[in-house]
Amino acid sequence: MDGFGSDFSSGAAGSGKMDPGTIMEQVKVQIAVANAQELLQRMTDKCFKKCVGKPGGSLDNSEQKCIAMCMDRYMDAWNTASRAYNSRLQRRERDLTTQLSAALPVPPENRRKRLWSKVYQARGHLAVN
Amino acid sequence: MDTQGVTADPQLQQFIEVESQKQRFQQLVHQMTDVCWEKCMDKPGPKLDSRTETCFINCVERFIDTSQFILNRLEQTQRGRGSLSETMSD
Repeated sequence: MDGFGSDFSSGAAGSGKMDPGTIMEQVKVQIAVANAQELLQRMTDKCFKKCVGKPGGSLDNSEQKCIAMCMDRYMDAWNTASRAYNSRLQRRERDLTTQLSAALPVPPENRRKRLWSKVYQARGHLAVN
Repeated sequence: MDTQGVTADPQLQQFIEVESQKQRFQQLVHQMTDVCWEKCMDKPGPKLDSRTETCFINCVERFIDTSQFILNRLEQTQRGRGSLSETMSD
């Protein structure tokens, strides 16, 4: 493990996988794949329940049509939920920001900037709620 | 292995925080879509009608309200009484 520390920071040849930029890209891809898998798993579960009655020897035409429509509706539902949740988070952030501003007298420019940066930091806690 | 180098990198730290936050969001959306599908979706049609869409939006909001309610009440009962089990006999 000679020079391992320096390889990490310089991304030298032969240890490209330790380059932080590459790590981040790979992690992003893995996360995206995991999300897609989760989506497909839940979609399959829901659409099977909705569209397939007593399982026959194969999926008949009506079942296939139903599944196709179900997939699209599930995506619509997912997008609707995502938008609604996002709005809720933004509203909460706006309310907290308003409360913060109302509680304080108008400070000079540089102090204002520092306060706002604290709001942005607090934003990190808001995603969970 | 130079573990100090990995965890001390501020760029990676921030990346991890941002991605973790995004994942929490995604996971919640998966969960809420699942739960609200059960509550709001009848037979899947050619499009999402407005009544169903409204149901989904309400469902998401009420789900978050429920989560907050539970957290608040839990905090109250723990502050006021010291143990949750005391409230269970209500």
